[in-house]
Amino acid sequence: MTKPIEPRELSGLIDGELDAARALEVLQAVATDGALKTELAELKRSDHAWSSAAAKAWFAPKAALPSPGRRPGRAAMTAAGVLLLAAAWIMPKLVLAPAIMVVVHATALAITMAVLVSTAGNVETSGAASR
Amino acid sequence: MSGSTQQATPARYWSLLQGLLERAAGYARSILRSRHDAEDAVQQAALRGLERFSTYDAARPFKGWWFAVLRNCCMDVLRSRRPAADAAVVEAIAAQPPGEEWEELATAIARLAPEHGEILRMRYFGELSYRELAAALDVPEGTVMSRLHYARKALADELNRSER
Repeated sequence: MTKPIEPRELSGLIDGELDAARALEVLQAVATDGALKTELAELKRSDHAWSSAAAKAWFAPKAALPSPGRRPGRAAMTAAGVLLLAAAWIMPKLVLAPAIMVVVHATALAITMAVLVSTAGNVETSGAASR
Repeated sequence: MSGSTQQATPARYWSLLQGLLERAAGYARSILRSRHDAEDAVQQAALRGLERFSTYDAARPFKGWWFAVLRNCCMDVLRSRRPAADAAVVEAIAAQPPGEEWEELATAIARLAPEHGEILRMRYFGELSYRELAAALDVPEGTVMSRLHYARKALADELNRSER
């Protein structure tokens, strides 16, 4: 025998929180009971209106939250830049091909720029977080 | 983080938090009625949650746990407001009816019993499931279903009354 329907289960039904078997029982009861049908229709209508009204309050907060991603440590980046600059200085003395020197210079410059950008980003984040 | 093999690392915390921020901001806004204060509360909750992440039980929904932290931060922001400033805000709200649908909803919810208001804000503005609501409010899921049902009926009565 089917357990009697409790009024709160109508809320459970519109929220999708009843298990499938119970949801079917509630739907069958609603189909044969005019009062339950009316109450469910009213709950559904107001629930839809309130859900869409509440959604208009959502916004993306401009909270200064630290980035969760892992980035290479600043010390490691700086060390790599210094090593490459040193290599760029030594290589001409070793009379290597000019093309290699260009590549080494460009890489050293790129890493140095990355360190500067990373440093500037951290200063900005810590400044925003302290406000 | 107890109850799980996953480690309570900051990276894990931020990854769990990422998808919640917009709903969190809307929920805080429904309580504080200020976009700026809502942002402050969300930021405080993000940092406070990180500090307490080692106490989070991973067997329970993260969203419910974190919204409980956020609710406390909203209460702190409300308490920190100066009484004179608060009175001015209340007067301004009373003099000028809510302009947007969400403000109308938040105003009606504010007139309900605290336990009804709390669960409706979390359900509608935060979009918490019954399991998440149970974790946030520390009550069984059956209680969530009952409380939410009676809160909805009380809200409908309140809105009908204000329309008359």
